[in-house]
Amino acid sequence: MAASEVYYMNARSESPQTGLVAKMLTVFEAAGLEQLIKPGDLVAIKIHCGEWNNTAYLRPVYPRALADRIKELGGRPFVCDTTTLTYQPYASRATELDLKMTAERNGFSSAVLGCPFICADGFIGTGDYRVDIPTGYLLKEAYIAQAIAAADVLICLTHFKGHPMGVIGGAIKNLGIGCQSKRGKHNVHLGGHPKYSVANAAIWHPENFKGKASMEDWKILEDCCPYDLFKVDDTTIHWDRPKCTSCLGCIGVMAPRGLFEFPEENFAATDAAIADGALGAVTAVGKEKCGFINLAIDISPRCDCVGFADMPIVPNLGVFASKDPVAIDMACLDKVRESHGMPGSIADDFDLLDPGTRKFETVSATVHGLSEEAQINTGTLNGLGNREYTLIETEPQEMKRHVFALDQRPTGERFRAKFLKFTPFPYERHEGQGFLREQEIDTEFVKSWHGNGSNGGVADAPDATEGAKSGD
Amino acid sequence: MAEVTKGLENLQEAITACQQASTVVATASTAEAAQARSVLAGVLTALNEVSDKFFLKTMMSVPPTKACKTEATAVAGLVADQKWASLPAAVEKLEKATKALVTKAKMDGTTIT
Repeated sequence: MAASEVYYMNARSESPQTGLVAKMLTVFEAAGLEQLIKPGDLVAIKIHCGEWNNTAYLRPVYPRALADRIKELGGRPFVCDTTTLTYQPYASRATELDLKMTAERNGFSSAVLGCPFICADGFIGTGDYRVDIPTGYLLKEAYIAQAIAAADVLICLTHFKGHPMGVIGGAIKNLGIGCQSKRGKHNVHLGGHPKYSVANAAIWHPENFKGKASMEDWKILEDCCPYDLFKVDDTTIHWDRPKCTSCLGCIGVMAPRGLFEFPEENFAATDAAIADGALGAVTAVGKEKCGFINLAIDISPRCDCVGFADMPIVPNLGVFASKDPVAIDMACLDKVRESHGMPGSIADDFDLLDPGTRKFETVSATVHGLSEEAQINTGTLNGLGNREYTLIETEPQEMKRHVFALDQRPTGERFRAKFLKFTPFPYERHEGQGFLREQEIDTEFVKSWHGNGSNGGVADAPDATEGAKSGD
Repeated sequence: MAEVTKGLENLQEAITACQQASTVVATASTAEAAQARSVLAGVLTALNEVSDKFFLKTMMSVPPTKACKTEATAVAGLVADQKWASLPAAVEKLEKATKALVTKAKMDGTTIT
């Protein structure tokens, strides 16, 4: 199989045409993703809207700019995300209402995006479309969010980062979890599976529950389960194990209290299932109608699905586009490996600052033994894509394409009449100087004055102008 | 890739270093050693209590246990070299690292999925 093409621009910016929004649009065009869209096409832009109080998710300006471009091409874009399983007791996106309220708080609303923001799988998450995936490595069917399955074109606009279960969160995961309905997520997380489900992979230790009297917050043991499968009485805890759906809401409650031995097999198998779910999403839309953009920026160790964001583990790396979700994730992963780790981040805690290290499976994975390539390898084996890629460095477009788009006349032409009518500068005051100010100050003094305190030791560092002279 | 030392292994090394230091300070007659005795006993109790927590099986446990190992090793080294003047500051760092580990081991609000 020939290597897949991945179009790439780095994260440096020094002009409108090299800003990250401009680069996103540039690789979108270079990778041929514009050509997927025909006039009248419904175009789903799949994003991750971020959990409540997460701050690393992609800024809304990226899907906005993409939606504007799609409209220029004649398409009808909508931005979407899906309801989640109740991965923890305080989930913020498990129903359409919560998802949309969280998304709006994070900046994703129709007004901001210039197109509708849709919960793609309905109020509870049962609005879906079933597809067979006979080449799946583990899964043989998938349940894809209905609005995504109904789209003519799917553009996955993905924030590339780490993930505690998937190890990496890239295009494959945006498809394999993000495009699944809630029912589909139960499938990918292997609810009911005879070997890998939480019910069958976890070892249950009810004997470690010593009674309500010894556990002040015992109520959470019942309340972490949306299916009401845990019952606590004065001295014992009961789990209706056969009905467990692997929603994972209980794991963070039970495992730290010694009631579960952690279902590590569930995690490893889910990483493979994610790539099968991704194949299901691509199958539902049509492989030739899917495009992928990864922004490898703000690369936090944990996903946008947690209610916080740790500092990035590597510097911003750039913008990628491809028609192959496997290749694009492999290219991003390689860039992360090639990069220095970020001092002060969790990569520093793990002594992973040197280039050439496999960072995510150490700093992002919850448990030992997970691989940052499991999704990629499974996605190659099941036919989703190709881990072999050619990275194509893409040149910036002309500046004019990326300046203020609503009125491209130069400022004199646009504002002259208004500024003369409502003159902001008070020419009539202070003999034409306009404002009351000192005639002259000692600028050198404020550059070097240290005040009376001892803060600002950096002032003793070598003169920055030396670096400017040498270019270092 | 260098093998990352697991949290439990870090913790065991920290406990061993603390035990070595405790043995020496138990018989030392300096004021610093006397002061360190009770702190080290508390640290050892805390480290042993977290050793069977689920947190120690996660990757998240590696940095805080590594910090405990580093500080405990430093304390053990000072005690072995009888550098008593430097001991209080080192013991304080160990106590701080241990408290951080105990807090993180509760996994409050941690999303592991």
